[in-house]
Amino acid sequence: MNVKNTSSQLQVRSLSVQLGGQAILKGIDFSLEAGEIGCLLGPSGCGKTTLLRTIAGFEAPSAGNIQLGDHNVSDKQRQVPVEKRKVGMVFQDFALFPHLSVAQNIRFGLKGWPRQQAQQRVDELLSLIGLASHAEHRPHELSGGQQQRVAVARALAPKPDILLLDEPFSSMDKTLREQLTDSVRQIIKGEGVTALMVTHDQHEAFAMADRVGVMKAGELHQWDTPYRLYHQPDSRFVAHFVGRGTFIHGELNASGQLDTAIGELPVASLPSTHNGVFDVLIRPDDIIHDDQSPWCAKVRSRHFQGAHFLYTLELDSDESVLCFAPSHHNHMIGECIGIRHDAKHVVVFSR
Amino acid sequence: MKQTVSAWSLSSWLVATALAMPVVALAWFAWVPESHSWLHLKETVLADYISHSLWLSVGVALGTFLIGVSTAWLTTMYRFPFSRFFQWALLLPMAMPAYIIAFTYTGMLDPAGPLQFHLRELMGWEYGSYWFPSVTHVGGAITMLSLVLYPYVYLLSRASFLEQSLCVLDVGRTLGLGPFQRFFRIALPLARPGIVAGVSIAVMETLADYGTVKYFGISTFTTGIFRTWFGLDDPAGAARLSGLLLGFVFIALTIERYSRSRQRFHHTSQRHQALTAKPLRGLPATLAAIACALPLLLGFIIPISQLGLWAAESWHSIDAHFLTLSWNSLWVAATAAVVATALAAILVYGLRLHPQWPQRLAVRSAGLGYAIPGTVIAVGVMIPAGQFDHWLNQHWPTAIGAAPGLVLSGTFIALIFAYCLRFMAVSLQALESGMGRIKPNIDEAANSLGARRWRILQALHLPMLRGSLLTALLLVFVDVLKELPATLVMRPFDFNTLAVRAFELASDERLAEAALPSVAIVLTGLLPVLLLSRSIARSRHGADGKPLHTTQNATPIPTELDRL
Repeated sequence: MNVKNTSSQLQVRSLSVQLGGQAILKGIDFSLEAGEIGCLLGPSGCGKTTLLRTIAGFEAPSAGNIQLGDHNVSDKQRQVPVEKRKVGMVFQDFALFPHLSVAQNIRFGLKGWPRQQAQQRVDELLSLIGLASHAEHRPHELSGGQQQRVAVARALAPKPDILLLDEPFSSMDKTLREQLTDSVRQIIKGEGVTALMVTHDQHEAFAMADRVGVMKAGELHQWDTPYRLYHQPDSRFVAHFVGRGTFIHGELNASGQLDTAIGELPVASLPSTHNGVFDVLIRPDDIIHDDQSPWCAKVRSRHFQGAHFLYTLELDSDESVLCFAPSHHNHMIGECIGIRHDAKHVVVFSR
Repeated sequence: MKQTVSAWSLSSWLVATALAMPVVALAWFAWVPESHSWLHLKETVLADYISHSLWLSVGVALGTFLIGVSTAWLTTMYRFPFSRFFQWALLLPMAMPAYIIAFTYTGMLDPAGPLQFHLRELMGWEYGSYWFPSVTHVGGAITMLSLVLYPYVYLLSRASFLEQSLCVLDVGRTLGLGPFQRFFRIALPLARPGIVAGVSIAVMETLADYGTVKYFGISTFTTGIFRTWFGLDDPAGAARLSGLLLGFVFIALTIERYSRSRQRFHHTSQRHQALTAKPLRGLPATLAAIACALPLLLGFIIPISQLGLWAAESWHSIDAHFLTLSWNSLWVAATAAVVATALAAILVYGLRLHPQWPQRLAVRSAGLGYAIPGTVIAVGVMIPAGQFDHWLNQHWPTAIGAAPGLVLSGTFIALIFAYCLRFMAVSLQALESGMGRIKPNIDEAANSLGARRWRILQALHLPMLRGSLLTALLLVFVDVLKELPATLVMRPFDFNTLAVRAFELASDERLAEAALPSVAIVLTGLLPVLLLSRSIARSRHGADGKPLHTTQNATPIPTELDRL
């Protein structure tokens, strides 16, 4: 663990934070490679914003260390103050300086740069965010999405070692949010900067991030790619929090597969200690609606989502599974419909 | 870093301690043995002081309640001829100091005054053969004070009515309540905290009033304090009276604070739907217009017209003397405004850097001066100042030279200090609300961009606070210009201001000459009132159901009511 990975841009080791005598973060460990976008995901109050603010230097940790590029910015001996840390921060409400123009906002962090170079940098960022024609506007004359981009550009201007974003899209409506995650991702990738974002919205996290950390009650449950978080959750909480799904009962049989109420399922890997009885995670995409199938389940509730229905189905064992079906498969509550499983490898947790 | 931390805390504590000195000095006098003249005073006139002050308070509370609440309800809930104009114009009497309206009406209603003269001409009456109202009694003082103090109640209850969501009133409607029942059973109880706060402020101003009661010859606490000090030459007695008066003021202050703290629990509906005013027609519309026109006419238009007439008569009396007066008033008010704003800035910035309880206590106690009557502040400053000068001259080493004489008492230092103490709350409130709108993450954003404290102060806070700083300067300036009792006691020898001169001339029955400085004071006093009405006119969009117009650059004008 102590061997330094030279390509890691951000390394957080055994980080704990206490605020007002309360443990907010407990032994957080993760690292982010240069140029990657990371995302901290979790319900409100899980400590994700505190983690971001501790990396920025606004909060002091009680234990552990933070390494940014080649520098130790926070350990037992010393805390580098925020203004010396070379972090760019985008705030939830943007915190643009209301009395300064867009260009002046972006230029604020370029104090000490030669005039010409600073001007060039500002122009570069203005065209990157597509607001070159708004350089002299004041923040209040811009739309929410434009303000957001200015906030990102302002944070990027001094070429920080890392860009931190605190719930940057939470104040926007859904459509704008989807557009913006896309354009902000492009801006960040265009600059090639390493970024860490906080959100409680998994769609946002999946759309933006190369790596996602799922947090709960001050602990980092899993730090992984979005794909693995969904398909190979490490804990019941992650399985529950990321994506939809239900648990059904499964028993290991002689051929090393699981006997369940929807048939025999292949298992990816088994916990080191087990008694042969498991909770099996079934995602809605593991179940396929097939009128020809001999397996039948009763519709308990249905949720029309336009392109498809999300059915909650009751198995003979009284367990339930979720299933997407094309929206022309219009079945009534109480009706029995044919299903089959399409699970290549299922995730299990010991009972 | 550590050093700047203690520098800010230290300086704000110094300011707060200095400002607390006068009250501490007064408290100390409670332990001094009772003097002979105090015992005499206690047996003879103290009961009068207390009963007159109480009667005035009760009367003004009732008067401001009736005028303030009724006009606020009418202008918020209904549309009638000129109702939009009344919404802001009803604030105008705020610009009229009570002592000025008092002598204006006295002069107008005087047997030799213009009204009776023309009436006699018209009706052919004989002097003394008819009854005519006069104002120079307790009832008159109550009327005068109510006419200029009701805007406090108007403002606060209007704000309360506007905050009430239409939903609650609509619920009342669906439950079968008529308009009067809706007012008495829903709107009034909901607005109670705001109304009580407004009335308490009016009562505090009444207790602080000196000019009106002195002019009408009513013996109250404030006139008693003057008499005890200057007439009986008993500073200790004056200090005792001041302490007693402070007791009454703090009762009013506590009521105000308490009801204010309850106000925020009165929002029951999550969704706020702005009120839509109902148009009135016919007789009700006329009655509503008259109800709003009366306080405006009596409290502002009639007295300012009379003053204007008198001022026109005495126009020729503008001479070098008058210019000196104006200049004196201007620079003393400007100096006090600058000093009070600078001190407030130190306190407010200290609070931003260290938002913990010691700092908060310092800021709160520094702001309490606004509740303390000017007379009391004068006594509280003069006594320790005199003792300091006495001590200094006694211990002055002869080697240095002649003793310095009076350093504090009777000098501008003491006067400016008294103004700062009295009006610190005004500048504090303006700056605090401005600082409050600069969210902490502005500092954090600048921090993460590499800026340190001084750059943040200089590049962000100061420009963002410019509007609030100007507001603070203007408000203190105008308040000092209007101030009477503290100036009367503390001004250096041979130094006169517009307010003092106006009062002196009026006391000498030279009303026409008094009008000129009075008009100057009222016109300057209009400035902050107009700013306030502008912010009300803006918020009116909300009342009409249009979206509230908010820009980040707009500087809200701190209302008088927010001061405490």
